[in-house]
Amino acid sequence: MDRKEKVFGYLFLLPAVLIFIFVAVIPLVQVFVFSLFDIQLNNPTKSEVSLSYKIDVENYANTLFTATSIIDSINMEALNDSQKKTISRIKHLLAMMEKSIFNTKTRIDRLNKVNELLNNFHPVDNKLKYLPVAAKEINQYNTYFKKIMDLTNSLPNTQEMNDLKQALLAFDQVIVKPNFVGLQNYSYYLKDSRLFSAVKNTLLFTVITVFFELVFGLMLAVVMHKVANLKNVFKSIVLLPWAIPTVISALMWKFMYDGQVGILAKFFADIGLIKSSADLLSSTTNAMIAAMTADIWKTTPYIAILLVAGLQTIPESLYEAAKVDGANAVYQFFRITLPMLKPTILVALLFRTLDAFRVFDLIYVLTGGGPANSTETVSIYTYKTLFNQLDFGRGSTLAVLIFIMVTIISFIYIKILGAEVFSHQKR
Amino acid sequence: MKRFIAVMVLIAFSVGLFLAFGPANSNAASKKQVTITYVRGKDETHATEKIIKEFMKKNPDIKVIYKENPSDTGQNHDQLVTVLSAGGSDIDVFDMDVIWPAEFAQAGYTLPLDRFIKRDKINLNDYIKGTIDAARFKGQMWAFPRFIDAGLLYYRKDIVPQNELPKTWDDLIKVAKKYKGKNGTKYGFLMQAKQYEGLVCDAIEYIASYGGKVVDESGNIVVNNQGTIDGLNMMRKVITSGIVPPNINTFTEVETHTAFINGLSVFARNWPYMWAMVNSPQSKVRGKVGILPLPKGSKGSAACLGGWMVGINKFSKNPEASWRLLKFLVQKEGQKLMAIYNGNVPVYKPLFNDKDVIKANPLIGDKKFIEAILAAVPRPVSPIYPKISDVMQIELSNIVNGKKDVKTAVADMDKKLKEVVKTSK
Repeated sequence: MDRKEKVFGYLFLLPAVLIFIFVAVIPLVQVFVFSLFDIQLNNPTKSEVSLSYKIDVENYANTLFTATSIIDSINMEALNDSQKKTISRIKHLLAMMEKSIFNTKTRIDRLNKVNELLNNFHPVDNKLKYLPVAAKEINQYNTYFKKIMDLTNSLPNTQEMNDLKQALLAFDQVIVKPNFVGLQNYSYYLKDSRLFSAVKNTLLFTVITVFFELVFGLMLAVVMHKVANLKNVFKSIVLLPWAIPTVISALMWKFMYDGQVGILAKFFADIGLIKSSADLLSSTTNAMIAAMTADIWKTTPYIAILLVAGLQTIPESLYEAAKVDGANAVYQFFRITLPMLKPTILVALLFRTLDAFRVFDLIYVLTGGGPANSTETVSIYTYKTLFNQLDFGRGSTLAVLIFIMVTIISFIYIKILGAEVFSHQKR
Repeated sequence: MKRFIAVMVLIAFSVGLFLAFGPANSNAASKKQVTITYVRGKDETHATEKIIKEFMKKNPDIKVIYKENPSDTGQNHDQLVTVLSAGGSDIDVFDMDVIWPAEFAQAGYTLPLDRFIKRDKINLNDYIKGTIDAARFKGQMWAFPRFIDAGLLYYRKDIVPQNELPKTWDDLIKVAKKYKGKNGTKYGFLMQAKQYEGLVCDAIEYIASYGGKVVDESGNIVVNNQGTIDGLNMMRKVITSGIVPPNINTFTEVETHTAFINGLSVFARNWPYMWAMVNSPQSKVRGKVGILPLPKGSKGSAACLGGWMVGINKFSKNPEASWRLLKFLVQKEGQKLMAIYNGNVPVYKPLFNDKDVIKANPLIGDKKFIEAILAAVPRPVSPIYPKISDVMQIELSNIVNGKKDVKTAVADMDKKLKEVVKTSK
């Protein structure tokens, strides 16, 4: 009976486990698999995971069409005998190259069919488009391709010949090769100085902002806790920065920092904090400080609210007892408030650290990673790789690396700093 | 139970509606008329609607649905890529920024147009060569140019006398220094030097005016040459000469035109679009501004090529109708309508002498303007342009901010670009 109940109990957990697998484990595994391949979405020969050789028949037909029409339009009169010979040799080799792949009747039929579709301006579907071929055939194809390119390079450097060369080069782009690269993407990033400076920027940003947010947040929380009658109004006002979407607050700060019209820039310059109002976003150190300031302004209220909740759980009787024993306010703060608040502080710190580590929108709007890449964080680097350059292999690698770093941070917090907080059930 | 019945009724009703209007409509349409969809970035002038109306009048068998994407180039790019990379056929004809064709071609998003061009015997020599080069990749044409943009030098006519107009970059520094502060100006010269795409455009102008190159005809990286170093040294010189605002490294086009139309600067480098802003009622310098080709380096003057192209989705269900729309847009008629209603500079050369076009847009009649436009140099034509641009932005920003000297930055750029090209092959 007891056993049955236990199994039944676990059954209740099943939906949670399934959800966890679907939303966390599967995508993670997928990203990891992608990171082992060289995937580039804007390259047809590398746009998906591929483990075998294929040939893109449509692309081949189009390339052949362009190359032959350029060859046909070449003014043969202007060429000398050896050049004429080269051209006819190229023609011959092109035919040989075609035969190395289109060597059976079905394959030739397929090429003709694709050509017919293209000539009538009909789309070619993927079943016709990709033709699986053997590695041996590809090798043969490539030998002919190399010979053709060598011949073309010996031709004179005129506009016509350059066009021909360009068109012929495209024959290299019709083969879909296996794109498994193993851990190469990882070894690339181990040597990538840009990633190191991005990690450095991110860590600097995280440590400094979280430190100040905690200090200011604690101060705010104590004030909010003490001022009883104004509490709700005050709380709403304090929470405002947190309520504004980051993209909007980032834009707001951008305007305030602006060297020509920015109000903060002028104020700082007037009180002598910076040399001129133009300095704020334009030097590498200042840009970082500016980003940090905006982040501290935005998230201090969040920490404050979390800490107020923690403060409210401290029993008033402790303070009364301390008062009776003659402890002053400072002593009370360090001996009662801080120790009792420790669990809340640790949770707040964990949230904020992970958040700050993944900072993206604020910096993206404020500086775009500049000047001179001085404010590029790992998230911005990942965004640029994934979405701007559509390099999915490398981008996934970066995503996995961020995941690892975030795991390490959580581990440190939970294991070392928060040991007692998270294991309180055992006590 | 009641609710269940209500839901069933609703479903039955919508199925009925669909049967009544959905397929029946499209069937009827496909018999007489084909429908194609044309997408471009937001058109504030509404000229596109007029042009499309004109096209439909001439081609009653084609119905064109016109849709607008965001005006921000980057967002427009991302929206198109989302639809196209999924092989969607919702879009038939679409406008492309001048830097996209190679990327889209390589990705297999656009239909190669060679077979059409050959069949309809279109003469590519009628078009400005730089724009045709930008539409061509691996020998094939993937798009057609529609209009052209190029960097220009704006100057204050009320401050700089005609005989002191700068011809070289050194002149510019000298003259800007001399007149900085006059008539309420604070700065001598404005440009775009934030770490973003615009910085690449500005840098290409310095590089090309000294004969430097980033990529050669075969797509090899050749950036590490004397021309590039001289050009970028000049850019650094302009930035450190005290004629630009101290926070020039936060300037994009927006900061440039805001400061310029508020009368803060003697000179400014910007695209032709600023001309309309300069002469708008909000402008404080209305009627006081002239334009010049950009200053010369040792190898003459060079402007960065901007502008838009039009191409056909490879997965379009109606390539023939799409081609007819595209042809209308880029040939004499469509180009003329665009130049008149939209104020853009056409790429179809015979139109430069057209009276109606010049009347509508006096800039096109301006010899200096045409000179500047014809000297336009394209940015590197490459399927991995976003990566190339990214590397260039970082190293150029290093130069702008004095973090590296020009020689080191160029050598680093060369090394990184070569690696980027190698790994994407």
